[in-house]
Amino acid sequence: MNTINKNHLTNFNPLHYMGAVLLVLLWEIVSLSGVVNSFLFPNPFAVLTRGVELFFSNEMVIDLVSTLLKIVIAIVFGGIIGFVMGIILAHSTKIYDAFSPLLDFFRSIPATALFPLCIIILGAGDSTSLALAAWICAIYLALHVAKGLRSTTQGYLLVARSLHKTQFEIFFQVRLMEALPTIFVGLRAASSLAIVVIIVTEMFVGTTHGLGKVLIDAAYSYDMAKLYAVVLLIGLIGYFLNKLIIFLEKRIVHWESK
Amino acid sequence: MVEQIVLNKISKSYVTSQGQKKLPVLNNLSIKIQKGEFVSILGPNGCGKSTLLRIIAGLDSADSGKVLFHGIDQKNMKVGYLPQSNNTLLPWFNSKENIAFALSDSKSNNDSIALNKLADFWISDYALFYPYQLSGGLKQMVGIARASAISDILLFDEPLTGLDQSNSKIVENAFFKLKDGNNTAVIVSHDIDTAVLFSDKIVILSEKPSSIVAVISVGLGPRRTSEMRYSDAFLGIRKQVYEILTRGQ
Repeated sequence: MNTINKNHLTNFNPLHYMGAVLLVLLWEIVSLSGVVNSFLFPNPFAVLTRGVELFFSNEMVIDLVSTLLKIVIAIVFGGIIGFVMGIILAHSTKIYDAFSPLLDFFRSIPATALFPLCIIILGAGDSTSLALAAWICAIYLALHVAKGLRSTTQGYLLVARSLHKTQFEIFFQVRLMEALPTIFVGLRAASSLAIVVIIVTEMFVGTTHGLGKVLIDAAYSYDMAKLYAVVLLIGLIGYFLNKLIIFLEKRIVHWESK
Repeated sequence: MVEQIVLNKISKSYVTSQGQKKLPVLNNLSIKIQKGEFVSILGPNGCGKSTLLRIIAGLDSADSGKVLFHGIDQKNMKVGYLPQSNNTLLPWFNSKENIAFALSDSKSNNDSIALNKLADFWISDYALFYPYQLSGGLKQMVGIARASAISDILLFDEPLTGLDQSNSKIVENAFFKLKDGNNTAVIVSHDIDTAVLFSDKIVILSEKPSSIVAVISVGLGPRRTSEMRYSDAFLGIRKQVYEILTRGQ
């Protein structure tokens, strides 16, 4: 197992970075050509310089930490709540049939549509950001945990039951293990949505710190280089969070897709 | 002498999907199996062979009748059961862990028993391999090793189904080993050759609701080899079984 994962980790493929390099080159060429407004589309060097300057001047560190913390808290709390909800949903077909359409309905409501309601109930600020992001994580996790737990291979259950395994052992050593790939799918979707919700709520619900707030402030002050730098930073957060989850998935669910 | 397994007048019906009508599957089946005996159950598709095996394993209940182990009705008797499926090994466990999972001792003891079992079946080299890294035959070997780690009473549902010739040969050797080890086995199969080669007794079931059509003693002696399938005695028994199974068709 370790060998497989080490290989995965050390597999450096320059092609993975080729697209980004070409995009930056194209961006630079377009900026230099004068075809586009250089105020609206500053060249990549200016954006990079502004990004480094912001980072090392500590101007944005507290916002970065604040956003990251909110994302982690929302995923952890929403994930735990969703996990427990998923177990309850999967416990019986009657519970699943009664409540999964309701959760599906809640999943279909865009989180942004709940801003006004949350602001009235929780007030403007971080609590609204966290509540909305945790809510969306909980719903996604609950549905995926329930789906995973309800699709255990009959052969595995037969073997476990023939071994007189307890319900506790069957849950942790068979059903949960087989549900893990589905749970990771839910976790990836939930974490992407958590980032979206946190950033958007930071823009509009009156938080004191966060990259969403920095983004909207940069837009209002027409600091275009800062705007681009923050957008790129948010993209990097999403990219590496997704990579982290895929890395964990490959380590934990090593048997999947083999 | 007390038989190791006795099926006493087992009957079973399934409730149809409409929920009301009962569909009789097994009808008053009685079979006695001695210690060290290998018994194969043959019959048409859907006649309830696998259901019967699940009843013996305690995974399904009979509507009437009893399964006795050593003369006692033991509901929680632990038996080595290998269902009909390619998915009987847990893919998140390696071979050693799959066997240890079946045991209920301390972890170190379980690991040591698991390694010994793998050695017994000549597959020690695959102890740390995961099911996705094993061929169909090796997966089945680990399943057999796991079953035999639990009990000397073994239940196999179509153990050679889906295996090519070389993998079948590997599994055959495992069965000869089990037979030499004085284990008791019930094998559900649709393959006459498998049944004749491994069994001391072949029980042939009728169409649903199944009753016993014939019980044939396989007089090939206690020690079996693959080459026996070319002997006149083997071919004679094979012909006899085939004729009973195809009678009236």
